[in-house]
Amino acid sequence: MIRATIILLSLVTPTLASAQSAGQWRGPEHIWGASCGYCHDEGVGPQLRGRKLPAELIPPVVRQGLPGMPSFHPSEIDERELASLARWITRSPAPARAAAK
Amino acid sequence: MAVEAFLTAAATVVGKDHVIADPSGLAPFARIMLPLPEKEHAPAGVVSPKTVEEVQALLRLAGEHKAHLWPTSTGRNFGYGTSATATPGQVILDLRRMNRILDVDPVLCTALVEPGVTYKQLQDHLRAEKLELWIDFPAPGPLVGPVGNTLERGGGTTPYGDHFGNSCGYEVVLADGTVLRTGMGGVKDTTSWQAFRYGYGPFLDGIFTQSNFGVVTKMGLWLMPAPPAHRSGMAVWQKPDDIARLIDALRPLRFDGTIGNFGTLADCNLILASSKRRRDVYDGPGALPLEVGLAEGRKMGLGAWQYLFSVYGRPDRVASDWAVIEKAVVAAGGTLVPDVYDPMQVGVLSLKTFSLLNWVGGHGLAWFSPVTPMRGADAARQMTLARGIMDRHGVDFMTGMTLNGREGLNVMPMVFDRSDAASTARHRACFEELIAAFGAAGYGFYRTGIGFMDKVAAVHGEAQIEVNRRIKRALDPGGVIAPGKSGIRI
Repeated sequence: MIRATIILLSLVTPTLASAQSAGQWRGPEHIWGASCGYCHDEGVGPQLRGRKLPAELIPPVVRQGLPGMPSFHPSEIDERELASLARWITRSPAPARAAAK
Repeated sequence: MAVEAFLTAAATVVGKDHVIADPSGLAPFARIMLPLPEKEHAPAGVVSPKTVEEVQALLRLAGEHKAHLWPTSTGRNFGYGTSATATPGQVILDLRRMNRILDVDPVLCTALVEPGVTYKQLQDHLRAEKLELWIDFPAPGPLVGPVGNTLERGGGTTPYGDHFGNSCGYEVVLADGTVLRTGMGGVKDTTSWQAFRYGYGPFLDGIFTQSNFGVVTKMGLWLMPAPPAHRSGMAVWQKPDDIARLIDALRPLRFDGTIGNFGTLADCNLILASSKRRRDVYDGPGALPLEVGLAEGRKMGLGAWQYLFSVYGRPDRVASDWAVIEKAVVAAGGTLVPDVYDPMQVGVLSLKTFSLLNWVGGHGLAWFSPVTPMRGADAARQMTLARGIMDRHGVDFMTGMTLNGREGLNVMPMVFDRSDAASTARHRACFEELIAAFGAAGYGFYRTGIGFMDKVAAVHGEAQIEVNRRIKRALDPGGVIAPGKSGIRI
């Protein structure tokens, strides 16, 4: 039984480590790196970090989107994760590359 | 109301936290990029199951309540309808919570995944396992997943770019709750579900793509062993009329495998639109004039046509294939720019393609996607036909064609400002005229978005519509699953 449990865990654990739906993110940096950063760190969308954007303004934009930005669903990021992401964006300094420009 | 009763019952299956019925909660799912009114495609609710058993229960409940379920995996499908439904009042069956990577076989280089798994999640998993395997993804790769893109028969630009062709074994829940595992998946204790896609008897996987015959809850796919070497390049032709000779020059290189991937044939405007703002290039009336686009492109070193491609394999093969390609491109009047980096072609996730949305900055995007038989004369004919219609509607012409098997997928994005009602109407009229004109010229389509599905189905003929209807009636007699998808109804 113990052996079976260990085998099961070894099969399941990597899946959970990489899981990226609501309730599974490892924190705001994980969300940013796996999703937001592909546009907002790459010049597709504006850089958001280092601007002290009001945290309360961010969740409605993420849910409703903006021109050129998709909307994000509750099944991919839940309310708690979204609030945490918003606070993280607000308090994050500008990334080094952007600051150097 | 049937839908309200269904949503109430659905909450007992998935939990009330995974049912959405209020308008503000539905808004992110209703948001589309196509030149169509949102109200024509507004969902009535969203239910998000976690397990196959919940999917079975929801299908049974939908049948009882005569509700319609529109399955989505990650719910993106940018420029083809996003999450929104073919007709208003359907309930989105949001499968994003079903996101387990059930198996990765490092020997056979295969994976088995659920619909909510994203390409980013799968790539992170492969890296965590230290597996030297590439995945192939479409342009919105980080945000979308293999199941949804494959079921739409989307593609990418590595040698595994034919996503349907590299999928192997589906699990499908039918409207009555039956669970079907296709191919080798029906064998008790199967050893080869992801090894052999055709199975025994009729090959069924295809009928569950671009269709509404079932809900796919698992899918196998093949993964590409990381090549020991690769090299990317861009072949450039200066004149719009070069389209015919460049296609005729590239075709043999694709057919014999010298060019290892579909690549992307981008016209000048596509690259302009991905790197500049329209107002900085042209502020006159109507569509971006051909000469204005070409002149602006020349400042960036662009010609009328750019073919971005890669070669893969052992270093000696890469070097020898490269030499053959260079000779052929030059002989056909092109120039070869070496080592142009396209992240998608070398397994690097990116969303840079969506810089395209900054061209006018208004969240309007529709892909017009006819199939081009891979003959120079047909490619030239299509470009002339499309540009003529687009010019009349004041729509900017641009295209990114992939060179696949015997065909090119001539994917032409229309980028516009959805907040401008007049512009949106022009783009819709243009899209509809293009469908009719291409159909009348003997061309069909690789894919289309909600709102255009009936028109595209009509181009492909009454017999196909009727046979699809018969299959639909056999597998989903109540018409529960996604009515209107690809023009299919009971």
